Amino acid sequence: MKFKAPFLFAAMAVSAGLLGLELKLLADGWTAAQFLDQDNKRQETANNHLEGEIEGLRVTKARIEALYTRLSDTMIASRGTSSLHINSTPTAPLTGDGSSFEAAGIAGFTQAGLIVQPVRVPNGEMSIIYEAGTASLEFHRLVPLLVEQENAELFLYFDKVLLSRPPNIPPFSTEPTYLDTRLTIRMLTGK
Amino acid sequence: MKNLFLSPERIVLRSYQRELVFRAVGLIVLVTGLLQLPVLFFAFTTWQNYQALTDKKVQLAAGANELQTRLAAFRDTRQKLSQIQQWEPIIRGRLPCSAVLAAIEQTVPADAVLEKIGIESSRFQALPVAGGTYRVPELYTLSIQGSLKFGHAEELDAFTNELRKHLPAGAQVLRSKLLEGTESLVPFLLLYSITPAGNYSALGVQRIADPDRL
Repeated sequence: MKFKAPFLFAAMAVSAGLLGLELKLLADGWTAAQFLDQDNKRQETANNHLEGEIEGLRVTKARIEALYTRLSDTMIASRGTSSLHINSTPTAPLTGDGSSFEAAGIAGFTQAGLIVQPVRVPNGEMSIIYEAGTASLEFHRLVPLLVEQENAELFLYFDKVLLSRPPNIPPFSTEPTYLDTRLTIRMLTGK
Repeated sequence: MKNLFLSPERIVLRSYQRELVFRAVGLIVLVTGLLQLPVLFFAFTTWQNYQALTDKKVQLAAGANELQTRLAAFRDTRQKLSQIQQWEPIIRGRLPCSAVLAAIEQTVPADAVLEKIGIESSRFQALPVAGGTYRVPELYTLSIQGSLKFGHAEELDAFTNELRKHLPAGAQVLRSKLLEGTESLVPFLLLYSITPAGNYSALGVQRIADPDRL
Protein backbone atom coordinates (compact mmCIF):
# COMPACT_ATOMS: atom_id res chain seq x y z
CA MET A 1 0.00 0.00 0.00
CA LYS A 2 1.15 3.48 -0.81
CA PHE A 3 0.77 4.94 2.62
CA LYS A 4 2.93 2.32 4.41
CA ALA A 5 6.24 4.17 4.26
CA PRO A 6 4.85 7.60 5.19
CA PHE A 7 2.92 5.94 7.94
CA LEU A 8 6.11 4.41 9.32
CA PHE A 9 8.03 7.67 9.07
CA ALA A 10 5.18 9.59 10.61
CA ALA A 11 5.08 7.16 13.53
CA MET A 12 8.81 7.48 14.01
CA ALA A 13 8.66 11.26 13.81
CA VAL A 14 5.79 11.48 16.28
CA SER A 15 7.53 9.12 18.65
CA ALA A 16 10.88 10.93 18.38
CA GLY A 17 9.19 14.30 18.69
CA LEU A 18 7.26 13.24 21.76
CA LEU A 19 10.33 11.78 23.44
CA GLY A 20 12.42 14.79 22.46
CA LEU A 21 9.84 17.19 23.88
CA GLU A 22 9.64 15.19 27.09
CA LEU A 23 13.42 15.13 27.45
CA LYS A 24 13.60 18.87 26.84
CA LEU A 25 10.93 19.51 29.46
CA LEU A 26 12.78 17.26 31.89
CA ALA A 27 16.06 19.05 31.19
CA ASP A 28 14.38 22.45 31.64
CA GLY A 29 12.86 21.32 34.91
CA TRP A 30 16.17 19.95 36.13
CA THR A 31 17.97 23.19 35.15
CA ALA A 32 15.35 25.29 36.90
CA ALA A 33 15.76 23.15 40.02
CA GLN A 34 19.54 23.60 39.84
CA PHE A 35 19.20 27.38 39.56
CA LEU A 36 16.79 27.38 42.46
CA ASP A 37 19.19 25.25 44.46
CA GLN A 38 22.04 27.67 43.72
CA ASP A 39 19.87 30.63 44.68
CA ASN A 40 18.96 28.90 47.90
CA LYS A 41 22.59 28.18 48.69
CA ARG A 42 23.48 31.82 48.03
CA GLN A 43 20.61 32.96 50.21
CA GLU A 44 21.62 30.50 52.92
CA THR A 45 25.20 31.81 52.86
CA ALA A 46 23.92 35.38 52.99
CA ASN A 47 21.64 34.50 55.91
CA ASN A 48 24.51 32.81 57.76
CA HIS A 49 26.70 35.84 57.13
CA LEU A 50 23.96 38.15 58.34
CA GLU A 51 23.40 36.01 61.40
CA GLY A 52 27.12 36.08 62.15
CA GLU A 53 27.15 39.84 61.74
CA ILE A 54 24.18 40.23 64.07
CA GLU A 55 25.79 37.97 66.63
CA GLY A 56 29.08 39.85 66.31
CA LEU A 57 27.32 43.17 66.72
CA ARG A 58 25.36 41.85 69.70
CA VAL A 59 28.48 40.58 71.44
CA THR A 60 30.65 43.62 70.71
CA LYS A 61 27.98 46.30 70.95
CA ALA A 62 29.25 47.61 74.25
CA ARG A 63 32.86 47.70 73.06
CA ILE A 64 31.95 49.39 69.77
CA GLU A 65 29.94 52.04 71.52
CA ALA A 66 32.64 52.63 74.12
CA LEU A 67 35.33 52.93 71.45
CA TYR A 68 33.14 55.17 69.30
CA THR A 69 32.44 57.43 72.25
CA ARG A 70 36.11 57.54 73.10
CA LEU A 71 37.11 58.39 69.54
CA SER A 72 34.33 60.85 68.77
CA ASP A 73 34.83 62.64 72.05
CA THR A 74 38.38 63.45 71.06
CA MET A 75 37.40 64.89 67.72
CA ILE A 76 37.33 68.63 67.64
CA ALA A 77 34.31 70.37 66.16
CA SER A 78 34.98 72.37 63.04
CA ARG A 79 35.25 76.07 63.58
CA GLY A 80 33.72 77.03 60.26
CA THR A 81 35.17 80.20 58.88
CA SER A 82 37.60 80.74 61.68
CA SER A 83 40.97 82.25 61.10
CA LEU A 84 42.51 78.79 61.19
CA HIS A 85 41.78 78.24 57.53
CA ILE A 86 43.58 79.09 54.38
CA ASN A 87 43.79 82.68 53.14
CA SER A 88 43.27 83.89 56.65
CA THR A 89 45.29 86.20 58.76
CA PRO A 90 47.01 84.40 61.59
CA THR A 91 45.74 85.42 64.96
CA ALA A 92 47.76 86.28 67.97
CA PRO A 93 49.62 83.41 69.62
CA LEU A 94 47.61 81.29 72.00
CA THR A 95 49.06 81.64 75.42
CA GLY A 96 46.48 79.94 77.55
CA ASP A 97 44.58 83.12 78.25
CA GLY A 98 41.22 81.67 77.26
CA SER A 99 41.42 82.61 73.59
CA SER A 100 38.32 81.76 71.63
CA PHE A 101 40.43 79.75 69.22
CA GLU A 102 41.82 77.55 71.89
CA ALA A 103 40.62 74.05 71.13
CA ALA A 104 40.23 71.43 73.77
CA GLY A 105 43.08 69.52 72.22
CA ILE A 106 45.50 72.38 72.45
CA ALA A 107 44.60 73.51 75.95
CA GLY A 108 46.99 71.07 77.54
CA PHE A 109 49.89 72.55 75.60
CA THR A 110 49.04 76.12 76.43
CA GLN A 111 48.53 75.24 80.08
CA ALA A 112 51.98 73.63 80.09
CA GLY A 113 53.46 76.91 78.91
CA LEU A 114 53.84 76.32 75.20
CA ILE A 115 53.25 79.18 72.82
CA VAL A 116 50.78 77.95 70.27
CA GLN A 117 50.19 79.52 66.89
CA PRO A 118 47.54 78.35 64.41
CA VAL A 119 48.72 77.88 60.86
CA ARG A 120 46.86 77.60 57.58
CA VAL A 121 45.16 74.38 56.71
CA PRO A 122 45.34 73.01 53.15
CA ASN A 123 42.08 73.27 51.25
CA GLY A 124 39.74 70.40 51.84
CA GLU A 125 41.53 69.05 54.88
CA MET A 126 39.41 68.54 57.95
CA SER A 127 41.99 69.55 60.49
CA ILE A 128 43.39 72.32 62.55
CA ILE A 129 47.12 72.79 62.60
CA TYR A 130 49.21 74.54 65.20
CA GLU A 131 52.84 75.26 65.65
CA ALA A 132 53.90 75.20 69.26
CA GLY A 133 57.13 76.07 70.92
CA THR A 134 58.70 76.55 74.28
CA ALA A 135 62.07 76.84 75.91
CA SER A 136 60.89 76.22 79.41
CA LEU A 137 60.32 72.49 79.60
CA GLU A 138 62.79 69.79 80.51
CA PHE A 139 62.75 66.43 78.76
CA HIS A 140 61.26 64.79 81.84
CA ARG A 141 58.37 67.21 81.84
CA LEU A 142 57.91 67.34 78.10
CA VAL A 143 57.52 63.60 77.50
CA PRO A 144 54.68 63.14 80.03
CA LEU A 145 52.97 66.17 78.50
CA LEU A 146 53.14 64.63 75.03
CA VAL A 147 52.00 61.26 76.42
CA GLU A 148 49.03 62.91 78.09
CA GLN A 149 48.05 64.80 74.95
CA GLU A 150 48.43 61.79 72.69
CA ASN A 151 46.35 59.66 75.01
CA ALA A 152 43.68 62.32 75.38
CA GLU A 153 43.48 63.26 71.71
CA LEU A 154 43.47 60.15 69.59
CA PHE A 155 43.41 62.13 66.35
CA LEU A 156 46.32 64.34 67.34
CA TYR A 157 49.29 64.06 65.02
CA PHE A 158 52.72 65.44 65.66
CA ASP A 159 53.88 66.21 62.15
CA LYS A 160 57.13 67.55 63.46
CA VAL A 161 58.86 67.29 66.81
CA LEU A 162 62.16 69.07 67.22
CA LEU A 163 63.95 69.11 70.56
CA SER A 164 67.34 70.70 70.93
CA ARG A 165 69.64 71.47 73.77
CA PRO A 166 70.33 75.19 74.02
CA PRO A 167 73.86 76.01 72.86
CA ASN A 168 74.73 77.64 76.15
CA ILE A 169 74.18 74.40 78.06
CA PRO A 170 77.34 72.30 78.02
CA PRO A 171 77.13 68.52 77.37
CA PHE A 172 76.66 66.35 80.46
CA SER A 173 75.52 69.33 82.46
CA THR A 174 73.88 68.33 85.72
CA GLU A 175 71.85 71.51 85.78
CA PRO A 176 68.22 71.39 84.61
CA THR A 177 68.17 71.61 80.82
CA TYR A 178 65.24 73.45 79.31
CA LEU A 179 64.96 72.21 75.79
CA ASP A 180 64.16 74.32 72.77
CA THR A 181 60.99 72.58 71.70
CA ARG A 182 59.21 73.04 68.39
CA LEU A 183 56.11 71.06 67.57
CA THR A 184 53.78 70.95 64.60
CA ILE A 185 50.45 69.63 65.81
CA ARG A 186 47.58 68.56 63.58
CA MET A 187 44.16 67.43 64.74
CA LEU A 188 41.22 65.96 62.88
CA THR A 189 38.07 68.04 63.07
CA GLY A 190 34.48 66.98 62.75
CA LYS A 191 32.16 68.28 60.04
CA MET B 1 -22.79 -22.27 2.77
CA LYS B 2 -19.78 -20.67 4.09
CA ASN B 3 -19.41 -17.05 3.19
CA LEU B 4 -15.90 -16.54 1.75
CA PHE B 5 -16.35 -12.86 1.22
CA LEU B 6 -13.83 -10.70 3.10
CA SER B 7 -14.85 -7.20 3.92
CA PRO B 8 -12.30 -4.31 3.38
CA GLU B 9 -12.18 -3.76 7.14
CA ARG B 10 -11.08 -7.36 7.62
CA ILE B 11 -8.39 -6.97 4.97
CA VAL B 12 -7.08 -3.83 6.67
CA LEU B 13 -7.11 -5.55 10.06
CA ARG B 14 -5.12 -8.44 8.69
CA SER B 15 -2.64 -6.03 7.17
CA TYR B 16 -2.18 -4.38 10.60
CA GLN B 17 -1.61 -7.75 12.19
CA ARG B 18 0.79 -9.30 9.71
CA GLU B 19 2.64 -6.71 7.66
CA LEU B 20 6.16 -5.73 8.72
CA VAL B 21 5.61 -1.99 8.46
CA PHE B 22 2.68 -2.05 10.80
CA ARG B 23 4.54 -4.31 13.19
CA ALA B 24 7.40 -1.82 13.21
CA VAL B 25 4.98 0.99 13.91
CA GLY B 26 3.50 -1.06 16.70
CA LEU B 27 6.96 -1.65 18.10
CA ILE B 28 7.67 2.10 18.01
CA VAL B 29 4.43 2.79 19.78
CA LEU B 30 5.22 0.18 22.42
CA VAL B 31 8.75 1.43 22.97
CA THR B 32 7.54 5.01 23.16
CA GLY B 33 4.89 3.95 25.61
CA LEU B 34 7.40 2.08 27.75
CA LEU B 35 9.75 5.04 27.74
CA GLN B 36 6.99 7.09 29.28
CA LEU B 37 7.57 5.26 32.55
CA PRO B 38 11.10 6.56 33.24
CA VAL B 39 10.10 9.92 31.81
CA LEU B 40 7.19 10.10 34.21
CA PHE B 41 9.42 8.92 37.07
CA PHE B 42 12.06 11.60 36.40
CA ALA B 43 9.37 14.22 35.84
CA PHE B 44 7.84 13.35 39.19
CA THR B 45 11.15 13.42 41.08
CA THR B 46 12.13 16.70 39.41
CA TRP B 47 8.79 18.22 40.31
CA GLN B 48 9.15 16.97 43.90
CA ASN B 49 12.66 18.39 44.09
CA TYR B 50 11.51 21.70 42.64
CA GLN B 51 8.69 21.90 45.15
CA ALA B 52 11.06 21.18 48.02
CA LEU B 53 13.49 23.83 46.77
CA THR B 54 10.66 26.33 46.35
CA ASP B 55 9.55 25.68 49.92
CA LYS B 56 13.12 26.12 51.10
CA LYS B 57 13.37 29.38 49.15
CA VAL B 58 10.29 30.69 50.89
CA GLN B 59 11.73 29.67 54.26
CA LEU B 60 15.07 31.31 53.49
CA ALA B 61 13.36 34.49 52.34
CA ALA B 62 11.36 34.55 55.55
CA GLY B 63 14.58 33.94 57.51
CA ALA B 64 16.31 36.77 55.66
CA ASN B 65 13.43 39.12 56.48
CA GLU B 66 13.61 38.17 60.12
CA LEU B 67 17.37 38.70 60.16
CA GLN B 68 16.97 42.10 58.51
CA THR B 69 14.49 43.02 61.22
CA ARG B 70 16.94 41.89 63.88
CA LEU B 71 19.76 43.75 62.15
CA ALA B 72 17.72 46.94 62.11
CA ALA B 73 17.96 46.97 65.89
CA PHE B 74 21.74 47.24 65.52
CA ARG B 75 21.63 50.01 62.92
CA ASP B 76 23.17 52.54 65.24
CA THR B 77 25.95 50.17 66.27
CA ARG B 78 26.66 49.33 62.63
CA GLN B 79 26.96 53.00 61.75
CA LYS B 80 29.34 53.52 64.65
CA LEU B 81 31.39 50.53 63.60
CA SER B 82 31.52 51.85 60.06
CA GLN B 83 32.73 55.21 61.36
CA ILE B 84 35.38 53.52 63.48
CA GLN B 85 36.52 51.60 60.42
CA GLN B 86 36.81 54.88 58.52
CA TRP B 87 38.95 56.34 61.31
CA GLU B 88 41.05 53.22 61.66
CA PRO B 89 43.76 54.12 59.07
CA ILE B 90 44.08 57.56 60.67
CA ILE B 91 44.73 56.08 64.07
CA ARG B 92 46.97 53.34 62.66
CA GLY B 93 49.14 55.90 60.88
CA ARG B 94 49.77 57.94 64.00
CA LEU B 95 53.21 57.28 65.40
CA PRO B 96 53.18 57.84 69.17
CA CYS B 97 55.98 60.37 69.28
CA SER B 98 56.00 60.51 73.06
CA ALA B 99 56.68 56.77 73.17
CA VAL B 100 59.53 57.21 70.68
CA LEU B 101 61.05 59.89 72.91
CA ALA B 102 60.62 57.61 75.93
CA ALA B 103 62.34 54.80 74.00
CA ILE B 104 65.26 57.10 73.26
CA GLU B 105 65.46 58.03 76.92
CA GLN B 106 65.51 54.36 77.94
CA THR B 107 68.19 53.32 75.49
CA VAL B 108 70.61 56.20 75.38
CA PRO B 109 73.98 55.11 76.87
CA ALA B 110 75.25 56.77 80.02
CA ASP B 111 78.28 58.00 78.12
CA ALA B 112 76.22 59.79 75.49
CA VAL B 113 74.59 63.15 75.48
CA LEU B 114 71.93 64.19 72.98
CA GLU B 115 71.85 67.57 71.31
CA LYS B 116 68.93 67.31 68.93
CA ILE B 117 66.05 64.96 68.43
CA GLY B 118 63.79 65.37 65.44
CA ILE B 119 60.74 63.42 64.37
CA GLU B 120 59.24 64.43 61.09
CA SER B 121 56.42 62.92 59.08
CA SER B 122 56.39 62.70 55.29
CA ARG B 123 54.76 61.04 52.28
CA PHE B 124 51.22 62.00 53.17
CA GLN B 125 48.21 60.12 51.94
CA ALA B 126 44.91 62.00 51.91
CA LEU B 127 42.21 59.82 53.39
CA PRO B 128 38.53 60.68 52.97
CA VAL B 129 36.74 61.73 56.14
CA ALA B 130 33.35 63.30 56.71
CA GLY B 131 33.49 66.73 55.10
CA GLY B 132 36.87 66.46 53.41
CA THR B 133 40.16 64.66 53.72
CA TYR B 134 42.80 64.09 56.32
CA ARG B 135 46.45 63.57 55.55
CA VAL B 136 48.06 60.54 57.07
CA PRO B 137 51.84 60.17 56.87
CA GLU B 138 53.28 56.99 55.46
CA LEU B 139 56.76 57.61 56.78
CA TYR B 140 58.40 59.18 59.79
CA THR B 141 62.04 60.13 60.00
CA LEU B 142 63.73 60.13 63.37
CA SER B 143 67.01 61.99 63.59
CA ILE B 144 69.22 62.11 66.65
CA GLN B 145 72.33 64.18 67.02
CA GLY B 146 74.50 63.73 70.06
CA SER B 147 77.96 63.09 71.35
CA LEU B 148 79.73 60.23 73.04
CA LYS B 149 82.50 60.62 75.53
CA PHE B 150 85.90 60.10 74.01
CA GLY B 151 86.81 56.41 74.20
CA HIS B 152 83.19 55.26 74.11
CA ALA B 153 82.58 55.61 70.39
CA GLU B 154 81.89 51.91 70.06
CA GLU B 155 78.72 52.38 72.11
CA LEU B 156 77.06 54.00 69.11
CA ASP B 157 76.40 50.62 67.48
CA ALA B 158 74.88 49.22 70.66
CA PHE B 159 72.71 52.33 71.04
CA THR B 160 71.66 52.17 67.38
CA ASN B 161 70.61 48.54 67.64
CA GLU B 162 69.01 48.84 71.04
CA LEU B 163 66.92 51.80 69.95
CA ARG B 164 65.89 50.03 66.76
CA LYS B 165 64.57 47.14 68.87
CA HIS B 166 62.37 49.59 70.77
CA LEU B 167 61.02 51.24 67.62
CA PRO B 168 58.01 49.82 65.77
CA ALA B 169 58.56 46.80 63.56
CA GLY B 170 59.88 47.81 60.18
CA ALA B 171 61.94 50.74 61.48
CA GLN B 172 65.19 50.97 59.56
CA VAL B 173 68.50 52.57 60.34
CA LEU B 174 69.24 55.01 57.53
CA ARG B 175 72.46 56.31 58.98
CA SER B 176 74.56 55.69 62.07
CA LYS B 177 77.68 57.71 61.78
CA LEU B 178 80.40 59.13 63.98
CA LEU B 179 81.44 62.66 63.05
CA GLU B 180 84.58 64.68 63.53
CA GLY B 181 84.63 66.05 67.06
CA THR B 182 86.63 67.71 69.75
CA GLU B 183 89.17 66.01 71.96
CA SER B 184 86.73 65.00 74.65
CA LEU B 185 83.54 64.31 72.66
CA VAL B 186 82.75 62.33 69.55
CA PRO B 187 79.61 63.63 67.83
CA PHE B 188 77.31 61.21 66.09
CA LEU B 189 74.30 61.25 63.86
CA LEU B 190 71.56 58.66 63.83
CA LEU B 191 68.79 58.49 61.28
CA TYR B 192 65.87 56.06 61.28
CA SER B 193 62.92 55.67 58.98
CA ILE B 194 59.76 54.46 60.66
CA THR B 195 56.74 53.20 58.78
CA PRO B 196 53.61 53.58 60.88
CA ALA B 197 52.01 50.15 60.70
CA GLY B 198 49.61 50.39 63.60
CA ASN B 199 51.49 47.99 65.84
CA TYR B 200 53.41 49.98 68.42
CA SER B 201 53.73 47.29 71.05
CA ALA B 202 57.53 47.51 70.81
CA LEU B 203 57.18 51.03 72.15
CA GLY B 204 55.11 49.75 75.05
CA VAL B 205 51.97 51.41 73.77
CA GLN B 206 48.61 49.92 74.65
CA ARG B 207 46.11 49.34 71.86
CA ILE B 208 43.35 51.92 71.69
CA ALA B 209 40.71 49.20 71.32
CA ASP B 210 41.85 47.53 74.54
CA PRO B 211 39.80 48.25 77.62
CA ASP B 212 41.18 51.02 79.76
CA ARG B 213 43.01 49.59 82.73
CA LEU B 214 42.28 52.60 84.88
